[in-house]
Formats: sequence, structure tokens, C-alpha cells
Amino acid sequence: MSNLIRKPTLESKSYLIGIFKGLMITGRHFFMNLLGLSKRPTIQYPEQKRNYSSKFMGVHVLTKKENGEIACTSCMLCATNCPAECIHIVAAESPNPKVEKYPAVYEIDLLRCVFCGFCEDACPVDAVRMGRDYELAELAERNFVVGIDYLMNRPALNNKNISVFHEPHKVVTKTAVGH
Amino acid sequence: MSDTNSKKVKITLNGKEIEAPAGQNLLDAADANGVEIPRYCYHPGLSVAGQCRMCMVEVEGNPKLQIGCNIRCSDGLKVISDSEKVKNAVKWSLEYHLVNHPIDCPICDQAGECGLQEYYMEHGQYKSDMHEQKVNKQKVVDLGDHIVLDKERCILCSRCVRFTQEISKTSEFGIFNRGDRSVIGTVDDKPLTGNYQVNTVDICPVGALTSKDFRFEQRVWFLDETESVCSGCSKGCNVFVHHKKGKHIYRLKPRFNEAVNSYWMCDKGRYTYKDSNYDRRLSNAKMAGVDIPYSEAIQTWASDLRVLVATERTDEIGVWISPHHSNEELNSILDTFSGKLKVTKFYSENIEQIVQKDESVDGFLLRSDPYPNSKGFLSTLQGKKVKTQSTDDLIQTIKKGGVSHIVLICPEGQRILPEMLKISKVLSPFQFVIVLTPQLAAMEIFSAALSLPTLGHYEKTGTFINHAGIVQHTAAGFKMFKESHSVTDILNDLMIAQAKPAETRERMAT
Repeated sequence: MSNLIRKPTLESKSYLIGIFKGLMITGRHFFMNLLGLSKRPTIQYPEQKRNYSSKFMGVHVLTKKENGEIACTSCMLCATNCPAECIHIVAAESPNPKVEKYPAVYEIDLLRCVFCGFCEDACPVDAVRMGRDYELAELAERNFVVGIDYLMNRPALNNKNISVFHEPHKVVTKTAVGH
Repeated sequence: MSDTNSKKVKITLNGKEIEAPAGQNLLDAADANGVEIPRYCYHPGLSVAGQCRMCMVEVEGNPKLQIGCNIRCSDGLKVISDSEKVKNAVKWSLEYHLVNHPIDCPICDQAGECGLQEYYMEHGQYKSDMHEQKVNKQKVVDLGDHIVLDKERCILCSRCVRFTQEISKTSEFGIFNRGDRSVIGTVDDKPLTGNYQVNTVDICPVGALTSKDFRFEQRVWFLDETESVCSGCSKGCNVFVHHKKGKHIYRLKPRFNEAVNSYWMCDKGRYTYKDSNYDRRLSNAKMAGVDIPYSEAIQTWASDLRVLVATERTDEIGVWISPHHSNEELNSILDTFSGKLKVTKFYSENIEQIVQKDESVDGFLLRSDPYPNSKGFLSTLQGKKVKTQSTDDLIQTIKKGGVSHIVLICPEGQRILPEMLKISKVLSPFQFVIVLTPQLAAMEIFSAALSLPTLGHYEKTGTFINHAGIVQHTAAGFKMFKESHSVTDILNDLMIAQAKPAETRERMAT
């Protein structure tokens, strides 16, 4: 047993030196940052915002047709492809007689979502895209389950979320739509 | 269903010698030997039409390709189904089927189980050479209560036409117009009639005919499949139950059984799943409408039984049963009440009369006896030497005060509800009523009673005897509610609790 108990070394006995060394580092960083002498990675967040890459994937966007109807046909390929199982769709007969199927409910649980963008890849009609919004503070958990109203019509989108298949004057090649 | 003799012949398929019954259809023989020959129009339950030209094969001695579905197995037949020539023919055949197909898979209910999708992955040519405008046809044609027709998606295989001619004998479907304007439909888009409409949806290889009940409900690749037996009548059609993780049943589909239902089932049976579905089910044990834990419910019941047993008043127990239960459940009910508790008062409908009057309603599958296990019910009762009285007798006995402990073992379904309502009207606070039911409606009728949730029909494991005496086994594939148990399990727990109260309480707590 005795060889298991280590005898205190000289270094650990003089622990005050260690504490002093540590305080030196803390103090150095404190004064360097205070006087602006070091390169600071932090920014003044709400006033100043970071530029994200064009590939950044934030909160999803549901696109529209020209007439303002939802572009989604509720084929549920996004829900199938979703690794987090956070997309909930209820399909229904569309009120528009020219459209057969549309999503009566399209909900994304943003707390479950891992923002991988697989839903965007799976969508055959460019109905769901990854947006650029990332400020997602809410008070209640239920507020993170967002529906069509938020995903398609939130003010930040400026009504510019038109599906490429429904953009005016845009020619979609035949191979892109199917057989 | 070719008229096959028992004589076996030797044929050569892709250079491999196989044995097949003489006169068997080549496609069936190929299926039995694991060789898949693509087909749309051929269905083993229907006649041969030769519409789709997908099953092209090379036959020795014939310079041209010919359709496999019209070849009967005979001695020395040599067939090749995997040569380049055959593959090329199938590829162009499929291309031809897709010429006017709208490819609206994202909104089509058939997507995931569609013949076009399946064969396209294997035989498709991936780059269409077709540059013409597609011919537009009518979409979303309402054909009555059960079926929606999409004329664009149809590939004119004529399976549904042959089904209404040969099986349901209603001759409603037909092919109208000529050339690329040919469409399937009924005269003036009249609604379909009869009790076998949805079978046309099952046999439709594409999404032309879709079921209204299942329309847009769920994508088929999310569904799990469990084998079971229909609870709708004494025919006992074999079915597949399609459900999502056992929490929601979406549809029933017929399962092939030549001795019972072949490839078909009736629409009435098809919708029996609705009574087993989550929204009509009792999920928790309830005492006077308030949720209580299962163990507490068993204890409450057992303590009342203990008093009756101790004071030798078990003749005050009345048990109502029905042939909706499996043989195993009926056995355990009779073992418990007749065997262990010496109960003599059993009540049910007059099953003997129902079995005697049992007949085919429409000359095909549906029968007049609404219970899946009437024969099993009678034989089990005979074996245990138990006789049942009618529900009216139970009501009379309740009025006289002859029973104070009433056990109602209700199945699911609307049929039993009027009887239960009659019983509930004569009840007084002096009777202790226990309702074992999977159904919310039955619990609501006896709002003051002790209700225990049992398994729904499609969750049960057990045997059912159909009208012809065929014993059919169902295997449990899922359980919708955690708190629900089979009747057998509930009665076992009850007997243990009744015999050893203290120990059981500990056992159930852990």
C-alpha cells in the first residue's frame, strides 16, 4: 500500500508559485483585451452581424407559386429523407380545382431539426429551401414547432420565395421536371 | 388459377431445368422458381388478356418473341427470359406505357408500390426519346363512395375490366375510345356499385384507381405490414394490416389464401379496421370514468371476487361473451369462470341459430354470420360443457336481482352496442359491472363500471375457426396501447390477485 501514496514533491509544496503564474496569464489577457492590443474574435452582436457563407443553412423556407399558393405538393419526400424526423405533413385535397394535393399542415420542429438540408435535396418541386435566418430565441417549446404561416409568409422573406418552377419567364427544361 | 393437373412436366427456363404442373401458366411457374418476368396485365386470379406486352420471352422454335402469360407449361418447353433481345423488348414496352403517363408520382397514392416505378428502376431506359405532347385525360374522376379514377395514369392493362366481368360480375368498367385516346372508365362515369369495389384498387398496377378511404392518408413506404384474419364475418378472409409503427392502422389488404378468399376481400370487411383504430379505442383502465392504473383495476376486481368466493356467492356472477374472441381467449374465459369460480350463468347471443342460418350474402365472400369465430365458440363451449343464455335472460336476471357481479367481455364493432345499451338500462348501483373491451363506445355506455382495455382484433394472437371449419391463426404484430392486455392475461392476473392479494400487490408494483 505504501508505494501507492506519493510523497509531495517540491513543486506541489510551493503551490503559491503556480497560482501566481496562472494569475499572470489571466491578467495579461485581461489588459491586452481591455486596451485592444490583441486580435479579438468577439463582435458586438446585436448591432454588428457576422457575414455567413452563401451555403449557410438556417430556418427553412416554403416557396410559393406565382398566385401565392403554396408550391408544396405534399409528396412527403422531405419527411422521408429527414434524419431527425422533424417534418410533419398532413396532405389534403386542395381547394383549388386545378391542384390535386396540397399540405393542409406542414410543420417543422426546429428543436429536433439538425439543419442538414436533406429536405431541400429531396424536394422535387423546389418547395422547401434552407433559409438564412438563425435568430431563434423563443420562450415556450411549442413555439419552435413552426407551420406554413411562418415558413412561407414571415416578413423576413419579403414575398420573394417563389419556386423556380413557377417563376415568371423561367424556362424549366423537360428533363428537370421528369420523364 | 389455371386448371392445373397434378402431372408434372419438365421445362427449361433460362437454361435451368425446372418442374412445373402441366398446364400451369408460365409466369406462375417462373414465380415459383424465383425468376421474375415483368407483367402488368397478368393476374393469377383473372383470365389472360395479353394487353401490356411486358412479359415477352423467347421460346425455342419460335423466331419472334411472344408473351409469357399466354404460354402453358408443357413437356420440353424451352424459354429464355433474360436475353438481350427480351430486355430490349421490355425496355421499349415500358417506354411505350410511359408515353402518355403524367409521372405525377409525388401526388399519387400508388407511389412506392407502383408497377411502373418498380419496373422503371429495372428495365427503364432513363432517357426518354419521346418529344410529343402528352395526351391529357380526365383526372380525379369520382366513382362512388370508395374509388377515385385518374384516367391519365392508366396503362390500359384491363385488370379492373376483367375483375368486374369475371369476379364481381358487375361488368362496370370498360375501355373507351381508340388509340392513344383510349381511357378506362364506367359509362358516363357512373358510380360503382357492389361490395367488392376496392379490389380493383388492389389489382391496379399503377395509380389509376385509388381508394378514397386511403386517399392522401399516408405514403405507403411508411407503412408496416402484419398478417391477420378479417373480423367482419364468418368467412375469415386473410388480410394484411397496414399500420404505422402500430399506432395507427391505415388500411387492410387481402392476403392470398386459395382455400378461403383467394386474392379478394369485400369492402365491408376492409373497413373493419376503423373499429380497431386508435381513435375508437379505450387506452386506459377506468373506474367510473376516471383513469386508474391497470394493477389497481385488477385489485379492485379481485377484492370483490374474494368476497363472493368467501361467502360462497359465486352463482351471483354473470358473464357475457361473444364469438368475436379467439379460441384461446374463450378457453381461458371458461377455465377461469366455469372451472375455477364455478360460475354457471353465461350469456351471449343465440349463436347456434346464427350458425344455422349462416349463408353467403352475395354468392361470393360475405356471409350473414357477423362473427369471425362462431364455430370455435360453439365447439369450445361444448368442450367445456357450458351453455349460454340470451341477453334478454341476463336482463331478466338483473331485474330479479339474481346477479350482483356482471362481467361483460365485449369485442370491438358496432354490432354489440345496442345489446350493451339494453343491459346498461336495467343496471342499478347494487351490481358490480366489469367491462373488458377494446372500445371506447362500450366503456361510455357503462360509465359507472370498471373498464379494462383489451387488445383490438388485429393485435391479437390466436386461432379462429371460419364457417367451413378452417382453423386460421393470427399472429400479434403490434400493440396500440401500453395499458391494454389480452383477455387471457387479464384473467390470469385476476386469478393471481384473487388468490394471493398481498404478494400480487408487490409483484405488480415492481
